[in-house]
Amino acid sequence: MTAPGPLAPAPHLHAGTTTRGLMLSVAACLLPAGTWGVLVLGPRALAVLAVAVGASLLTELLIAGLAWKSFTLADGSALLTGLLAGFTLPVSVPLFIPAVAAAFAVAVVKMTFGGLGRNWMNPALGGRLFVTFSWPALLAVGAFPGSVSGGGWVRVPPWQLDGSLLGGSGTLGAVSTLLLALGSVYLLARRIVAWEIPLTFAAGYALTVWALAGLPAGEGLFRGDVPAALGSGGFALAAFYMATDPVTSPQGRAGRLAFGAGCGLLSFLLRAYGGRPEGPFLAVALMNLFVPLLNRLGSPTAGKG
Amino acid sequence: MSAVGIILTFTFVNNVVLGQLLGVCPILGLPRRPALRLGLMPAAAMPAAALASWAVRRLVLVPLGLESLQLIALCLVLALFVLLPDGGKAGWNLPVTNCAVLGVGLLTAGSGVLGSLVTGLAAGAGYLLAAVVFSGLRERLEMERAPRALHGLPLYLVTAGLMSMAFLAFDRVLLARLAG
Amino acid sequence: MSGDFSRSLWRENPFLIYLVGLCPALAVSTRLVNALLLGAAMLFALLGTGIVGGALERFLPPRWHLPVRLLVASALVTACDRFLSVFAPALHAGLGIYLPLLAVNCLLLGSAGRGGRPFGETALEALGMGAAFTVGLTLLALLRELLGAGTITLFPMGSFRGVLRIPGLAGQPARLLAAAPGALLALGYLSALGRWARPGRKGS
Repeated sequence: MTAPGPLAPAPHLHAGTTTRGLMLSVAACLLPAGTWGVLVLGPRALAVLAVAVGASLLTELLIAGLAWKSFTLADGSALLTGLLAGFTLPVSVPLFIPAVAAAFAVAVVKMTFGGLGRNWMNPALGGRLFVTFSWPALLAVGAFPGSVSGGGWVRVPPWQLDGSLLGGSGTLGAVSTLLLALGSVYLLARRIVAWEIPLTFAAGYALTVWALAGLPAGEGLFRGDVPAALGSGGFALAAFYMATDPVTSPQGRAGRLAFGAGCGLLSFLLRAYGGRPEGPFLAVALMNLFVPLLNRLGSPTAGKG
Repeated sequence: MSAVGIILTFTFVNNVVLGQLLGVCPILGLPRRPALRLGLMPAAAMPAAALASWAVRRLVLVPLGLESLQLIALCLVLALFVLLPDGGKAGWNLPVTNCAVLGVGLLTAGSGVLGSLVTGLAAGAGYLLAAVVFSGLRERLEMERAPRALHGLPLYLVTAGLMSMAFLAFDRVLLARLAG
Repeated sequence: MSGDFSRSLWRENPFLIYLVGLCPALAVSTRLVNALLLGAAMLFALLGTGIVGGALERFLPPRWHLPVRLLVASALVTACDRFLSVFAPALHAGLGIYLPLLAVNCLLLGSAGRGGRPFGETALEALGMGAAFTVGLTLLALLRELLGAGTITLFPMGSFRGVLRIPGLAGQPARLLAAAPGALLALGYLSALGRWARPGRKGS
C-alpha cells in the first residue's frame, strides 16, 4: 500500500475560477492601497513597484523559457509576486533592491521548487527576507532624511514608516490598513482566501500587543496601543495578502487558526522585542516553515503515510 | 550567558543546524519518517557529549595539563561508545559520529558542568526542531517540476537555506531583550 | 589511475556532486583562505587515515574499523590544529571549532583504504578526494566571499594583510551570502550546476 501523497498542488481552485483570474483579482484588490501609497509617497513608490514587477516578469520569463521551454507569465503569478514584493519595501531603497528581491522571489523561492504551487515559502516574502538580511543598512526605516519632501502630496514623518511601502502608525499606515482590508473583503467573500487566517492573525497580534507591549518599555501589562499596532500597512499586507497565500498556508481549519495565531504572536515578538518594523513579514515566513506540520493538526492522516 | 539565553541561542538565535551549520549532513539525509524518533538519538547524544566533554576535561586533561588533546580524548569517548556491544540497538554509529554531537562537545570546552548540560540540551532541542521542520517541508516537495539538476540534495540544501534565512529573524537584539 | 583522479575531481566530486562531508565546510567557506586551509587539512588527514587506518585494519575485526579511524583522524586533525595555532594564530582563530570537526567528517571516515588495497592506490585515492574537496570548497568560498563580502582573503604575507577588496562588490555586498543561509543556498546551486554540467549525463 503506497502512502497517500501530498494533496494536489495548491492553489486549490474552485470551479469557475482560473489561476489567472485569481492572481488578477488579488492584484486588483491591492489597487486602492497602492494608489494611496503612490499619492502619499510620490513617483518613487511607483518606481519601486514598477521595478519589482518588471524584474519578476523578466526572471520568470527567462527561467521558464530556458528550463521548461514554456511561457508561464500568463498565469499572472509573477505579476502578483512582483507587486507584493514591491509593497513590502520602504520607498527610499535604491532601485536595485526591489529588482533583486523580486528576482530572488521568483527564481529561488518559486521556480527552484518547480513553479506555481510548488513553493512552500511565500515568494514575495522570501525576496523581502533576502534583501532584508543582505543589505540591512539600506532597508533601515530611518533612512528617510526628515520627512518626505518633494515626493508625494502628503508629508510623512519617518516615525510613520514600518518598513513597507504602506507605512506604519499614523495617517499613512491607518488608511493603508483600511484600504487593504477593504480590498480583501472581496477576496474573503469570494472564498479566494481563508478567513480564519487574518482573523487569528489580527486577534493574536492585537491581544499580545495589548497585554505585553508595555513590557519592553517597563510599563507593565495591558498597556499596549492596539490601534497603532493594527494601523500598520505592513501588518495589513502580511495578514490579508501574504499569510493567506493558499499555496503556503495550511488547509484545515484548525491549522489555519493556529497559523494565523502564530503569525500574530511572532509579529508582536519581532516588532516589540526584536525591534524590527518588518516583523509581520518575518513572522509569516517563519510560519510558512510549519505549514506541513500544521496540516496534520486537523486530520492526523492528511499527507501522512 | 544565562540558561535561558543559552537555550534561546542554540534553538533559535543561532540554531545548531541552521545557524552554526552543525549536523546538516544527517538532517538532509534523514529517511522519510519518523523524523522525531530519528532526530532524538543525536539530540540525546548532545547533552551526553557535553557532559562527557566536561568530565574528561575536568577530571583528566586539566590535572594532567593536556588540554590540547581534548579532541582526541573526546573522540576516544565516541569511539568507545561505538565499540559497545550493540545489543539490538544497531545504528548507534551514525548518530554518534555526528558533527553536531562532537561540535557540542567542543563548544562546551570552557563551561562548567551546568553550563555544559544546558548547552547540550539546548543544542539537542535546536537539532530536533530543525530536523522536524525540515522533514515536514521535505514531504511537501514535489520534485517532478523542479529543474532536474536540482533534484534531491541540492533542493534540500536550498530548502535548508530558506529555513536558515527565516531563522535570521531571531537575532541578538531579540535575544538581549528577552534574556536580559 | 589518473582517470580515477580526474574523475573524483570533477565528475564525481564527493563534495560538490555527492554532497558528502558538508558540516565544517559550509561554515568555513566564508573566506577563501579558510577553504584552502581546511582543504589542506582534509588532504593531510585523508592521506594519514587512509594509510595508517588501512594498515591497522588488516589486523582488526570489522567492528573496530570505525573507532580506529576516528582515533587516527582525531590525532592527525589535532596535529593540524596545533600546528596552525602556533604558526598562524589568526588563521587558526578564523577556523574555530570547524577544523577539529574534520575528525568526524563523513568523507574522512568514509572509504579510503578499505578493502586492504595497496598503499599506492590508497594514497592516490586520498589525494584525489582531498583535492576534490579542496576544489569544491574553494569554489564555494570564492562565490560566497566575492558576493557576500566583496573581498578575497588570502594568506597574509609580509606587509600584505591578506584581504583584497574588489571595488565594485565591496561597496554593498549581499551579506546574506556570508551568513549561514548563504552557505546552504550557494552550495545547493553550485552542486546543481555541477550536476548539470557533468559530461556524459543522460539526456532528457
